[in-house]
Amino acid sequence: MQRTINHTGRRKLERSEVSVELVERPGLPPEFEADFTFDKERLPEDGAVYVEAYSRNTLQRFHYGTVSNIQKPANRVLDKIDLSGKTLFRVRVVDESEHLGRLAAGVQGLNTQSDDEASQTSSLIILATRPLGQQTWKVNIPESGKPELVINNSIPDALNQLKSNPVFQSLILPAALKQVLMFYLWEDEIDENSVQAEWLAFSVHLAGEKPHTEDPAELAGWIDDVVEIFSERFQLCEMLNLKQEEAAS
Amino acid sequence: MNARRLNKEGVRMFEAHIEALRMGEKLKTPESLLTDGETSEAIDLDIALTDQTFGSRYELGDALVTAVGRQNLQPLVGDSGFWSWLALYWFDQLCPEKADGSRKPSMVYNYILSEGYNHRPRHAIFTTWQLVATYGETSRFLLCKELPVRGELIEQMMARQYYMSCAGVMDAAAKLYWDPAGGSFKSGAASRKTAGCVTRLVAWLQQLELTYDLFSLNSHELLALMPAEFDRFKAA
Repeated sequence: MQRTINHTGRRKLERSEVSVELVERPGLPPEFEADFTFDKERLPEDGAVYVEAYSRNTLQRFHYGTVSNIQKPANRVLDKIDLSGKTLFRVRVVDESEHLGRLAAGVQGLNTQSDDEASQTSSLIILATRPLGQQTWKVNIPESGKPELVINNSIPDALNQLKSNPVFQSLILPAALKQVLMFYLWEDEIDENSVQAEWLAFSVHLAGEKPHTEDPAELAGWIDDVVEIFSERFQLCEMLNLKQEEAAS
Repeated sequence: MNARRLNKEGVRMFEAHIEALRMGEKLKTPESLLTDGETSEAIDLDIALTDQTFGSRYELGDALVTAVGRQNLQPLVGDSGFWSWLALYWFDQLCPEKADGSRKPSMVYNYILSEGYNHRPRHAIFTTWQLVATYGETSRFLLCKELPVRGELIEQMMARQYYMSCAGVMDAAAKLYWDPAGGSFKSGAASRKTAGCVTRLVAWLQQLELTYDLFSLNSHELLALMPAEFDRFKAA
């Protein structure tokens, strides 16, 4: 039997003890806000708190004071890490009472709140904002996990625009949906419990059974049907026209 | 020449070129991709590169860091087109032509910056720049070989990417393995089995980071904690 030995008594922080939020700043690297609701009885009160933001193989570390006296650093700008991918966070509580800092507790792989909300509501796609140059949006399909719809972070209030502005929704969502479906549903073999299976279920719910065919035209036609019914369901064209009329009046 | 970035078509054509070389075709480097408006585009920074031959990856990294100067490279850090352009610019040195006109490029991700977490640090220019920009002379022990050679030391150290952010770890590894007189790493450092070799160092660090905050340890503290098997490199 395999056993894990934890002779220093380090504790795994619960994800609920930390929340991290990205603050987008159009044209500038984002900042982040971190809040802690530590179970303090189980941590050294003088333990130093560090937040590490990391993306791919780049990392930036921030000192947040101690468990009993959290002090957020003045500079929380993510200006040293690779912003082309998803930024994750880890938190370390370090006992520095002796000569060398010992790990007292930690948690890693923390999503930002907006990513968490997206995945917690069992959304099929994660919404994110990042620098994209002159590209206004793009779809990222990771090797594992849900696809991402990324909006250029130089667009003011980009995420809220996508969530609430019919102009953004009607012009982006059908094209993004088609990209995702073309990627996931082109293959015949789809694993159960996979992201592909979730997208297939979603598509079948809208447009009925996926055709059993190797004819690319027929398959593309079915994907077009899914996009058409999705657009119909959310009245995307009508919402766009209403928004335009509002703007004109 | 001022550095640019390859666009999607440029990256596609560069990748096709590498694959063709790997299949044994004898081809000239497609230098026109570097400047052709159909395959490349200007960047916002002013990075002037000179036609230089480098004796090691460290020298290349140093030249690139100097060319970037105090400009903020962050917007280009994840830009595959930019790093792939640089790899194409120095491709004749990274993958020199043999006497019979053939070339033996390594995997594509050594030249085209990969989106994949595991392959990204293998990019010949990106990782070289990152190490020299962050650690300067200290990184020489990882980058002392000629351009086509990646080397076992960097292979092992980069396998755990967190270490690259730990200044104490990088400094301690340099103190252990770098031989300034010989201008290379010490004999046995790149071995996979002998006591105190880089593979053993990585294994030991993986144990250590379960207990200590590796990021905050300096090289003296790390060297003091190291077990006796590393003494042969400390003394050498």
